[in-house]
Amino acid sequence: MVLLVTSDNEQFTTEKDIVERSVLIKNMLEDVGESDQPIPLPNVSSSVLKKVLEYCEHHRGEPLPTADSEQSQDETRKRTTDISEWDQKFITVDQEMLFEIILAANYLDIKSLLDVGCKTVANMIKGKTPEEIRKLFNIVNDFTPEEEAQIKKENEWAEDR
Amino acid sequence: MDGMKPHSEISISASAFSSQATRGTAYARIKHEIEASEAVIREWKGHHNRLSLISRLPPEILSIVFKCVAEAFETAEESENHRWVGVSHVCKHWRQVALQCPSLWSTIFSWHPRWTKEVLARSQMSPLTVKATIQHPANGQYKIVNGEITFTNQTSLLEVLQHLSRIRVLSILQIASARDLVSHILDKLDAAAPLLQTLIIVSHQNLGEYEYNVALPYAELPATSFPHGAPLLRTLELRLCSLPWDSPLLTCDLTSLTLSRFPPDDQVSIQQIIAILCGLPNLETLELTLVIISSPSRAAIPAPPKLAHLPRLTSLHIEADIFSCACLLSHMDYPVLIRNQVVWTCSSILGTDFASTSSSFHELSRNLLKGLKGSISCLRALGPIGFQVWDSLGEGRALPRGSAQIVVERSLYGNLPARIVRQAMTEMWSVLPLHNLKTLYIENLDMDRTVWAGRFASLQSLENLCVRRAASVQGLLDVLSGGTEDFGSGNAGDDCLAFRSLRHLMIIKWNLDDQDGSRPPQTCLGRLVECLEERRKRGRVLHEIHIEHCVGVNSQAIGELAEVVDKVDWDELRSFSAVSDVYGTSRAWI
Repeated sequence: MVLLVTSDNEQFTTEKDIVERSVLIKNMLEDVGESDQPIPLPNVSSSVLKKVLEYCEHHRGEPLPTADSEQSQDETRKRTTDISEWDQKFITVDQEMLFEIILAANYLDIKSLLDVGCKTVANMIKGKTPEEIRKLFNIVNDFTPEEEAQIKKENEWAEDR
Repeated sequence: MDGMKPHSEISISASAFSSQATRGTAYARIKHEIEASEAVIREWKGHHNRLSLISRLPPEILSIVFKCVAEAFETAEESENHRWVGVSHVCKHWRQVALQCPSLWSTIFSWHPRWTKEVLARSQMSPLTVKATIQHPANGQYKIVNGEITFTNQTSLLEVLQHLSRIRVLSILQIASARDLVSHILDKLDAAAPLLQTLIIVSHQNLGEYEYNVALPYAELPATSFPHGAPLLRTLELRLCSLPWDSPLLTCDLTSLTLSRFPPDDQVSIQQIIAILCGLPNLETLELTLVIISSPSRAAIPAPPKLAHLPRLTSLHIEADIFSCACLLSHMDYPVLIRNQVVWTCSSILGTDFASTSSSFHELSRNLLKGLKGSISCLRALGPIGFQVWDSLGEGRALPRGSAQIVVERSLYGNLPARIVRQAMTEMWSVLPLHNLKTLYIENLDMDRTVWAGRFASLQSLENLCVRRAASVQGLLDVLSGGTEDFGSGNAGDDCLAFRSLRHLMIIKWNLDDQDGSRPPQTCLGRLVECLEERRKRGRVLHEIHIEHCVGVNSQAIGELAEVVDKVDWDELRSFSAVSDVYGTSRAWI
């Protein structure tokens, strides 16, 4: 069993094969060896770690991406926006939790979870106009008139075929 | 609000009555103040945006999100595939992140010269994906630039091809007869392509797929192309575009090779193609469609000196004359295939005695079996088209899901007499090991009593039989109630009952009103009830009969059937039309 301590000082005890979906923790465990020492996760809150562990538990036993497969994925894989049904349900959370899960996946080095998070945000963006995207994420247009003019030209060029 | 002044502090000494010079100075100051204020507002807006929850994502993650959006648009309609660029039009920060991610701009999708330049610059040295469609000016795809008629896409493509050294995927689709334009472009592929992984050149004719005798818009990859080869090339697809057969593109690392429809002068002999395949041991997918020199007979093809070993092959598609198909398969060694499709052409059979061709059909069938994992579980005969074979079973009486492992079709080019097709089918089936066949679908194919009896009636494992749209089912009805001893098997007793293990019978689009020609006259339905009654008496009750779109069925007949089989499944549709049936026979019942 592995003991994890979150930024808000909550402790989580979990099985090694679950938590080793995180490359960061896997490497730490390999470095430290057999130890009862808790692993501090100062960048992850308890509510987020709970979700991350739920994901890791569901996907336990699935093969982890190797360095080779990651390279070939980067070269040839299409990051389609398809997400499995369970993952979709899992990631149906509010924006704040979504971004925190993404940050935690990035920090803990859980590539598949990072993918699910990024694809979810991509799905939220896909099919929306810039104005609709701004509204979705509470962003305002801060372009200069010159930048606006450039964007207008780009649109004309891109649509020309 | 450091840069903003309260209203009370805004004052100006000039008025409408001031001199022009004073007012000019005042205007300049006001303009400056407005611009300064707008800059401050933009700065505040920037602060506003930094409070947005999505701003928690660092640029490297935001750029991954953008890539996901861009890739999702790659398969979108051509008119839509640029929409992802909208992510760089949301706010300053997002634009900065997008512009600083060169790989985001690595797919060239629009061919406006300015946009092409812009994208080439933004992509920096990232490997490029280039997908171009070359159209003839008749299609309206040209513009007047600097007083000269220019094909927008061609000009831009030529500029992109100057970056051949960093192109990873190059896909060129030629629409209609733009051969001159394409030739000019293909001439430019004369530089090193160290990163090229995929090369696709497809000429597409705006004609029916099966118009055979039209002048095809062939293109040709010049001998000067890719002088240093393409060491990373894995996928090569050339359709209506030939290449020299000694091209360095045919490298040993290819995993997918598609060569389709080369002009007759550029076609290759079996010996040559086997020699080439011997040098491509990593092939996983191979398609050779009408690229092999047609042969008038099997004997006219010199035997290749060795076999081509393709240990990684999973998918094979060959389209050639029957003699070449047979010879090619005989000289290829491959493991179990996921899909093995052979389309044989027929022109050389027409003027030939069929008997001399039958050995090639046998040879073809025997070699197709090399790629089959298990024994044949399901056979589907598609009338004059061909047949399909699965080594897996579907659920219940249904066809297995997914593509068949073996597909044999005759080419739709040319007009082959029905007699020849039937003979060809029979020849090919005759070598198929059907002893474990569980499901048989016969569609749009009239088989006489001899074929039913000789080929299928004695199969001990056959449980599901579907006969769809046969113009005559008398042959089947003759056999259904009889024993195989009636057909010379030599056996007797219950074990020799025809279709001994039959559990499900599906009849689709039959005319059950048809008279069977017997004395006294009897309808097909009457014969069918009699056959099933006979089977029941012999202890082989049919589990289910499924009747779909059949003419001449009524509730009374269904009642009669229900007495001789366990279950009758009738759709109650009593008519059908040949119009919607792609494999329609000569008869149409409405």
